[in-house]
Amino acid sequence: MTRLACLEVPLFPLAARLRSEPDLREDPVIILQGKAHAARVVAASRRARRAGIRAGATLNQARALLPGLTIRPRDETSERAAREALFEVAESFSPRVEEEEPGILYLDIIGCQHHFDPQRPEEDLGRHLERAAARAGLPARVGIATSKLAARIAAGTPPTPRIVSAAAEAEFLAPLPLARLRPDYRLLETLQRWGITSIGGLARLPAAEVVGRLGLGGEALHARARGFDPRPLVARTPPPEFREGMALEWPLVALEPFLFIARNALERLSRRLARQGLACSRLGISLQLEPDGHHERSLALPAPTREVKTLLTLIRLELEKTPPGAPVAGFEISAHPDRPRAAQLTLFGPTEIPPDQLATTLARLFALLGEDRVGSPRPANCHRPEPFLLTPYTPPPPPRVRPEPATGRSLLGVRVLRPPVPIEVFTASAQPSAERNPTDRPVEIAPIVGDQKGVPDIQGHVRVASGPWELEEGWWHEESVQREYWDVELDRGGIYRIYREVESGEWRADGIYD
Amino acid sequence: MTVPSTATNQPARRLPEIEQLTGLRSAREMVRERTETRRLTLDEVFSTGLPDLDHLLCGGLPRGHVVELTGRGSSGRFSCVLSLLAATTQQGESIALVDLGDQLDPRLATDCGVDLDRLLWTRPRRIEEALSAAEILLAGSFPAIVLDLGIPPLPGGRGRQVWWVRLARAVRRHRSALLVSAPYPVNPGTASVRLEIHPQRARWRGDRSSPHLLSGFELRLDRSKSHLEATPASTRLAFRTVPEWQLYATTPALSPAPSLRPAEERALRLESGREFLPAGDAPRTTPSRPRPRVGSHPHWGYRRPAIPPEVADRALARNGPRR
Repeated sequence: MTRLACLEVPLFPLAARLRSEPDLREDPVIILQGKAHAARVVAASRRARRAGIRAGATLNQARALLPGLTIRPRDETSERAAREALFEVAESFSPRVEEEEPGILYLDIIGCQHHFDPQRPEEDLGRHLERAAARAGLPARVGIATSKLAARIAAGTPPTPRIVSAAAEAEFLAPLPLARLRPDYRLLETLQRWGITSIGGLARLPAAEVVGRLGLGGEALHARARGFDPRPLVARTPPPEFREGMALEWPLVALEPFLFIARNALERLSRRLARQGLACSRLGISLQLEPDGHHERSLALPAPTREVKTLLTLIRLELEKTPPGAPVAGFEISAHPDRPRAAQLTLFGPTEIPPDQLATTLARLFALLGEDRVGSPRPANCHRPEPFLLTPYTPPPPPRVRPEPATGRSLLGVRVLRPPVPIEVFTASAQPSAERNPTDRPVEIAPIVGDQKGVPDIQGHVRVASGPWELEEGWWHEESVQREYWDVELDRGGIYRIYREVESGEWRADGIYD
Repeated sequence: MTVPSTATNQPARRLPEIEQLTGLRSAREMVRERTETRRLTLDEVFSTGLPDLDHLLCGGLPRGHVVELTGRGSSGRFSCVLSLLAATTQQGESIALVDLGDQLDPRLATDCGVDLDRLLWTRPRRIEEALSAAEILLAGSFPAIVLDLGIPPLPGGRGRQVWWVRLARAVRRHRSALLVSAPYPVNPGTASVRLEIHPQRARWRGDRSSPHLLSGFELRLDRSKSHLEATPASTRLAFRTVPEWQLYATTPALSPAPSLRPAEERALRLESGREFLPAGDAPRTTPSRPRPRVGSHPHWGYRRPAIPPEVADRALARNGPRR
């Protein structure tokens, strides 16, 4: 036997909007759909409904009833995010979930009851479902029955959660008005003329007579009235990414207000990811610009993380680096989910940095310094000392047992000067550079006259010089490098590695022994 | 609380008794406990790979403390940093290098024994960024961090004192080890240990008739401040350029040639891909001046980069055999 739970969020456009703007929860709010004079109220908050505002009213009618009304247009971005959030709530209870329409979900709960109170499992499940939806910012109602129709009607009937057993389904439906079946208005009029106003009244009519008088539509309605709903539950495939965003009430031109709103969206996104045990490996930002146009950005994270502060810092730096160039009227943030890596604990070896913490640290460093300034160094495939490669920092797992502290090789280190510092070198023979003899030794080093701000001060009389050591690379293409290296010790201290470009004759220092 | 009347007569003599009776601790004891040096266990330190320096630091770079290492250009400061990186990564620990001067040579680091997979290299532009990066790394539970400020002039100066105080607090809170390598003192007051390096002399091989070759240098390390256990306050260190056998392999003119083990000889032939003078065949007389081949600087040139075969083929087809 099938048991289905219906999770329904009443007035879904309003609930989605209030989820994005929780400050409006206590205000009288209406959601409008349509433009100009064609705009109609599609949902109104409790305070607005108390004032008499109903769905279908125009803006002027609503304002006449309640002048201090808060008005919001229908926001597809908020609704899409709320739908996904509701899906995730449902999927945390059952793997088989179907969406009938925005704000209405069916869950196959067969087998799930064992995880709840054994005395009243379905009621306990329903309460947990409601609480989970409330934590996601969506007030929901729950109905549990055997068919989709009965479950949905149960969800719309107080109290919540409403449990309808298989045997009592017809009895539950019978006294309810026919409008609960959502029939075609022509059929409803006909049935009302017949004096049939309840579902039970229709169910008691002979099926053949109903088909003969009302046709195929009548037959389907009669079957629904008897509690027969042949529609199977079609489980959905989870989307490849998580999205949050909203349309803004007025366009924003400054970064700080935008980040204030984006933080809320990121917090919701982070909660959704945490609920699924996931983290974000790539962040997409889509900005809707005023009056038209879009601004798309994609931020690759060094490792999956869901820390709001880090993600917000990355967004801030990205937007500061490349501003959208127009006022922002709406935004959507998408997170590509990935499994966070887990650390293996050890008793005797070095402790591994938790991967999620490492990912957060790397993301913050990326945000501070830029991607090209953080990583694991690698030697470049060339002779010159300046080039290097940077690879993503992914340390291997530490050894299970800490090795004995190794003694170093006591090798002399060289600080590489990037870029090499231009210097003026006087050689022993002091001949012109074009006719220079390779055996000429540097005897004096002087700084190049000019803008030398921030450049190491390299000058003095050469006490000892060693060289020349030739370096040639890239001889197979036109941009070849040919250098003559010297190691020089200056009388005022300092041992430098200097070189002379063979083609140009210019001298530079590219290293200091330290 | 009532204090025995006898204690009021001879307070200094009866102080331990008072403390025992009242449960209070005297200011003298608290100060002693605060300043008392303590022996660090192996788990609380990171070996620097230099036994003499470890001895000066009471076992190694201590967790929860800031150690400042100062020394002007060509003092051996960076060699100490590389040695620490090598020793730490060889133990399987992750370590971060905040390299303000952007002066790390990955190839030389590999030669020094650094496991580059475990080294996180950050290259800030100014000292503010360097201190912020170090703070982020501390918050990220990195067990050991080296903040190398390079050589003068430092971009951004010494930084504000308050930044250093924050950094020292973060080090204590996260129980990480922080080595600040600077050309001159930059964080007075916050470092638990301060070491000053004084270069002694550079070692050169050769004379007027043969080429000079830098083979290393010596330095003296003085400890000017320590909150740790009192150990010798000064030591001497020596660094060399490359292992001896590599030195002779690249400069056969130098004499006397050392004897190589067969495995080393074979490895060197395979690695360098060039002719090699075996042990015993090295000329005893020095030629006028060696002309090393391409990339044969003794400190890094014995390694030849791999030219992709397709590039080499194209170059040969276009230019003919290399001269």
